[in-house]
Amino acid sequence: MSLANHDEDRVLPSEEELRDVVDRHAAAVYRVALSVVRDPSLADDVVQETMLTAWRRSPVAAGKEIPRAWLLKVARNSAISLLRTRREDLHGPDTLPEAPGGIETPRTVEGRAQLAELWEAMRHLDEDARALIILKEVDGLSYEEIAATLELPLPTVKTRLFRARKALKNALKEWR
Amino acid sequence: MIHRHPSRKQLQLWLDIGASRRSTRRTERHVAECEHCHDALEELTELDEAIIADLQLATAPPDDLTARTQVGVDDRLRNEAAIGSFLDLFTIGWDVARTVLDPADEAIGGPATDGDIPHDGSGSADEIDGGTR
Repeated sequence: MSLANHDEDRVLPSEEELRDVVDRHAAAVYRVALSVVRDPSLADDVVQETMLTAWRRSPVAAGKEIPRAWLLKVARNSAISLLRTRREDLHGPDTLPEAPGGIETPRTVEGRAQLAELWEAMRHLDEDARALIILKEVDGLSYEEIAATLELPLPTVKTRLFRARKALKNALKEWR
Repeated sequence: MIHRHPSRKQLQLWLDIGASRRSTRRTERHVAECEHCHDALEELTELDEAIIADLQLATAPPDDLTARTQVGVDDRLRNEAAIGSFLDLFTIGWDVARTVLDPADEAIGGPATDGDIPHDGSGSADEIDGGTR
């Protein structure tokens, strides 16, 4: 089925291209969203919204690869918007859920406790610090990509990441 | 920028308390522009592999995320396409109705003529009721 876009009169990525973007980037988009919204089901919503935005407003011509940094920037902005509209949600503005929901991994009791401690430590970081750690340590973005994603100067990204890592280490010392 | 690099102890202090003291403000200014210190800080703040592995687990998406996203995105695009088609039909219907009800206006296709009711409502009562008073 051909899907028309009624907003703009331009060539849009094909459905196959969109599927490819979802296959390749949904997990990274989810993690960035989770660092902001702190709720797995809201992070899910952000993933869908981001993919729709990618289809509607891709910054590159159809057939070309959508830059990962652009996609993650859209994800973060969508997550922030979503959070703003849900100020009355159950979680405070700087808290994460009690435990990382939706994750069912066959781990030992000890392993699960360790994961909970890490999650607790992440709760104590601010949103920028969480995003920086996830983008760099989990998604493996370069500093340049992170700078583009967070719209920050490169030196700022580096110095904030160093301090975020240190803050996480300190928080882990407290919780472990 | 100061040319003498901060010691590891000074870097550690800056990492811990940020630019809240005069000395750490100096460190921060230096660090912002010094690649050499970036390397030192990379080393000082490097996370254990075990922590990174746990981070990956703690932020892992559900197994069916990709499949659910594909379905959700497809549904929303189809719904939007359906709404778009409905609006197109409505617009066509509206244009047809206008042509049937007011063929002269459609034929002229221009601005209101003397016989039309002005859109801004500024016409006199005579003009509006066709001068039958």
